[in-house]
Amino acid sequence: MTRLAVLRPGLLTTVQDLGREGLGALGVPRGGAIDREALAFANVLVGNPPGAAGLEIWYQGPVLRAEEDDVILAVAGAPFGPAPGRPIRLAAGDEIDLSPAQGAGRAVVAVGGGLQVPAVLGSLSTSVAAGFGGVDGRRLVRGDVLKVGSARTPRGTVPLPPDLLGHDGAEVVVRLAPGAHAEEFEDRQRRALVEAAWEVLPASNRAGFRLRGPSLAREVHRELPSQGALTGAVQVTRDGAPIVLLHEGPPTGGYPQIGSVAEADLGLMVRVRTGQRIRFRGVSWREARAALAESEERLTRWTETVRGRST
Amino acid sequence: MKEAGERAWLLSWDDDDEEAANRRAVAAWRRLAAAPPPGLVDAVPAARSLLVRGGERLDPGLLERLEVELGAGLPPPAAPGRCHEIAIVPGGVDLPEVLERTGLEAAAFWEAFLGCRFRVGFVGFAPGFPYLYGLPGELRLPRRSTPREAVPAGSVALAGPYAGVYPSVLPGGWNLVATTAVRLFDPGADPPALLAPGDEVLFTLGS
Repeated sequence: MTRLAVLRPGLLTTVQDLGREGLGALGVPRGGAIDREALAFANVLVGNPPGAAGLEIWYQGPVLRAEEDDVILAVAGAPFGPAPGRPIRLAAGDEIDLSPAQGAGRAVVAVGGGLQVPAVLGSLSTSVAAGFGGVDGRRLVRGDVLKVGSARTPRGTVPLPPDLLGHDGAEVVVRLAPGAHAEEFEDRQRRALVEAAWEVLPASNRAGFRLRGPSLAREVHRELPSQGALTGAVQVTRDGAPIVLLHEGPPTGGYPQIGSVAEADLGLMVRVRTGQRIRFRGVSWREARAALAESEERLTRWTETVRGRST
Repeated sequence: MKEAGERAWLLSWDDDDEEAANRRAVAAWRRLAAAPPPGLVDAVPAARSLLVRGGERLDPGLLERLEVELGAGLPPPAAPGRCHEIAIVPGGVDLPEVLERTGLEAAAFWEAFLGCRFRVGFVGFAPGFPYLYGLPGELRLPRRSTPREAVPAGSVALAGPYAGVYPSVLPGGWNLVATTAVRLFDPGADPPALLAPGDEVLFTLGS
């Protein structure tokens, strides 16, 4: 058994995979990594299946020490640590400091062989809010020791597509499909949503991104019946502040949903750096579907390249 | 039916009475749960709707037919799932205010509350948190204007047409009237939530 010791935990470091499905009717969020695309690419870099459990890190990454030889890590999503986007091999006793480069917000760390924690409700993911899964249902703390499965040696190195480490520009543009309650809002709010540049507030967490920008409060307030809400839904609170639901958001909600971030761009959105703004560009569900198919094809093609099956 | 995601659809029903619409939603959910169609990933009933997520194989035509079938005629009777008795101890921090606003003496309030047969309309907000229909009109109160940051686990609470129970420590704006020691959510249990949509709940006096 290979192990990784947690010397410093970072701010919000949790074990995440692709989460749990089919439990929404019992109030259980899907959970899992908020940047599934980064998790998949990082896993492929270390020779894992795309959904193997890794670490999700927020703002300040952990310092880890390999307890045995040949522990392979790869970071995707944002520049954390000494060699983001490339596999890093550690020998027994090697330490790795996964501190962020300037402005990096969130990333995933894949570990060759995958992290091994007990499955809860069909997933290794940590639900921090509900306190189950991962390591004792909580974020990592100093002194934790993570078990790692047996790794397959990755073949060579293929650079990550650059957007898998975030964007360099002042703004990140993400596609936005119609929300379930778009018609509850007036033109003024619908226009403001796509015309403004939105800042991510520090109060954001795995349940949702809280955004700062113009108020989207409706002129006439009306209570809405609670309804199912999907990851990416842009909910507007009564005081007009938008919250983009992430994977640990509740499966039902009572706030109106003005829009829906396209699934293909959820990873891109959560890779936003400190100081960068988010801008929404309206698309139809049909376009969002095509974008998702495209991003899935890109992962497939890239995986084949890494595994050396294509020319 | 409405597109709600790349591969997700929202079925909804517009009866004047939300509880009636919810019976249609729960019946639709049960149909999907009893015989899951190919490609079904998740189905989440709520007050008046059922949100369905699927893979590429899920046929939206099937969902459209389900919405029409369940929308036809009178709402289906509330066919109970399991019936649960939940022992409670009266005395939440909001009880005095609730009594004042409802104008009821404590004895009359508890007689009305304990006499209700509640039905789980849906479970949401947090793992295992039930929205219970069946509260008589005189016990309905709006949620508190300022939500609390941490409501204790096991709080029995009222808001609008619903009664509910906080399965864990959560933020919340419901009116707290009692507590229970019954565990509503246990991730190690199968199923993990005590209450499922369509189940019946009777509150009893415990100690």
